[in-house]
Amino acid sequence: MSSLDASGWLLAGLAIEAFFVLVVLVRWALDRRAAHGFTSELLQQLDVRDTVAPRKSPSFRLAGALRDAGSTLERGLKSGKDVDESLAEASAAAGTAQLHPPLLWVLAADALLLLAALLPIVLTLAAASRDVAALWKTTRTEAWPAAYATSLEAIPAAFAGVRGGFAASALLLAGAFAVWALRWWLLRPEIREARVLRAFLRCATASGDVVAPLSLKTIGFLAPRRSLWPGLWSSIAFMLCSAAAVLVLTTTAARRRENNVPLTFRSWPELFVRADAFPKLAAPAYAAGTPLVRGPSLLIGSEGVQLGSARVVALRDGELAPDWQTGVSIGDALSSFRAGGEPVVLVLAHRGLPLATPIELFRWLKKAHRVSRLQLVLRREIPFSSGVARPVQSGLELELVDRASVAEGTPALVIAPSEVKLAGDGGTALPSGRAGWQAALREAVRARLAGNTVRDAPLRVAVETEGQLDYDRFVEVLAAVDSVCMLAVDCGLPGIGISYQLVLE
Amino acid sequence: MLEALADSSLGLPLTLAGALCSLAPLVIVALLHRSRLAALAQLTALVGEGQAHEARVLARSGGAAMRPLLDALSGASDRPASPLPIRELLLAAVALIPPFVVPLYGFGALERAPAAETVPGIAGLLAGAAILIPLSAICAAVIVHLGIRGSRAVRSAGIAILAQQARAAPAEGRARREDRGTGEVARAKLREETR
Repeated sequence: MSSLDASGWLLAGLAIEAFFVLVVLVRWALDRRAAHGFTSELLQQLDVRDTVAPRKSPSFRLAGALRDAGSTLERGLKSGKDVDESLAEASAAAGTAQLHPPLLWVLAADALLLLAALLPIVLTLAAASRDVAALWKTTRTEAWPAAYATSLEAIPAAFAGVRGGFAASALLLAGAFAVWALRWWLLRPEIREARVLRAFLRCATASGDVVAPLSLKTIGFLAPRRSLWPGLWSSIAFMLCSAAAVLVLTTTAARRRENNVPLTFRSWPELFVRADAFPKLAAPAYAAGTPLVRGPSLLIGSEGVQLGSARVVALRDGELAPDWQTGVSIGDALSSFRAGGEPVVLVLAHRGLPLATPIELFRWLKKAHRVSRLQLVLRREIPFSSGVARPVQSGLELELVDRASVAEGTPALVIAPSEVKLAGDGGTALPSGRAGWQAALREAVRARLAGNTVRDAPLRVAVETEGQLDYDRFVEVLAAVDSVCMLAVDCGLPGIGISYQLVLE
Repeated sequence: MLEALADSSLGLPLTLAGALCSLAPLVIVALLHRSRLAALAQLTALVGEGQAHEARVLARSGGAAMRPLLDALSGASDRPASPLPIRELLLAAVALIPPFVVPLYGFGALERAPAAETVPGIAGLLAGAAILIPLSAICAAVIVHLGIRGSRAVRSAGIAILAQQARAAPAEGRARREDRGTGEVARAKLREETR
């Protein structure tokens, strides 16, 4: 339900309540006029001296709630009964008369008021139910990256109107309570009864003496109690209800604040690549990548390289020596992982390394050890409802290929220090200094990937580099294309799972 | 919305249970109200026929709500009070419980349900809440109305009884009668009758 619909229903509900206020006021005015008219007629037609006697054949205009009492008095007087007795009978008739409106009318009016007040809630919940059910039907058959990307927008949109609906209904319920309060104040049966009794009382005591004792006694049964206790109890009950509401709101405030967080992805596995051998190693931190797989780890710090537990080579200022491959041994760092096929090596590299160093190592892995599948480890901070961000590690898939292996039509990125180029027809060059270049690059690449009509085929993007880059710049571009988070804050969701093909030759 | 409700294995049964929890108090109050009105009509008819003793027996069996009538029949001439509709207010509160309890229980049950049932379950619970909220509100409003009308009916019957007794009293004693029974007369008469 859009905000425009909510405003429309709010106005409609307020219009219905205003109509009922008008009905109450009109009814009250008619009742008062009838009471005044009845009182005037009563005093004119009853001769008040030592006793109260009719002057002539009485006939009262019968009106509304006074009908039963007026007709009882008229019957009594016309039949020749004592006026005191007739007034007493009429007073008793007023006390026993059905001064409530007909039950069905009242129930219909209250049902209409309640429905008008609760309609925003009903419509927004129904819309949310419909949207969630439709989302389930759509995403049930999609691959999980597409399903999550679809759900990321669809779920918040499904519940977008619910808050507005509840707010509108709260306002309308307050209006409904105001209508009921006004109706109780002006039209409750006791008020109508009191108008009749006042008319009779004026007759019964018109001469200043008690000339109609039976009537006065009967009226005494009907007169309301003049006690402050109902008001006091009502005030105490209201204060207790207010205190309870405040207590509930304050007690739940912390929980409501915890729940007011963006949608987060809850199932990151507890897998970490530890860089205990290189304490100063700072991995790149970007909100992209998919959950890590199990495999051997390649640690590239600024002072050395370690594969699994085997120290491979030392680095000087993050660079490899020219003959670094001489005498290098990795022991059985990879052998234990080959049982399940080609292993995926998890690369945890320092962000400030010159890119040439990791790429040289990647070439060595491919040529000497037949490893071509890597996961570049990223550091992420996943926000959770407890308010404490949870550190996780994700991975960007990287495949080491030669140029001939890149399929035709695969989008190709060329990463330079100050721009990124998307090769192909109508190639795009995006300067990195431009604000929002990540979103523009993401849209451009995904537009190319959207032409991939083979179901469940991996999303492949070829990558080449140009110029002198550092490792962080390289990973930044790959993460920008893979990420689904729209804001600067980590949304907790994995990337869409792009498999990058690093062209080595 | 109804399709979402029907597709959910959790939403439909919980919604039906919630609707039953809201409608049951309404049915109970409606039946009690009808029987109370019938008892009051019978009681005033008995008083009109001069059968005060039978009327007192009937009033005694009516419970706390009929106590003003018992006092009136026992000769107390204080104005009859309208009994507070405590029972109806409590039942109205019961009728309002389902819209709160059903979603809470449902979401708790979804935590333990298989993953494939989570989303349809949520859609079903949302549809169920959309049905239960207005239904329970209307049921509670009807119950409160019936309670208020029942209280006034008891008061009206008390007025009718007292008015009949006042007309039947000796004419020369009416103006001087100052018996302001506060219930002691009724209790004394009751002790005498049950001795």
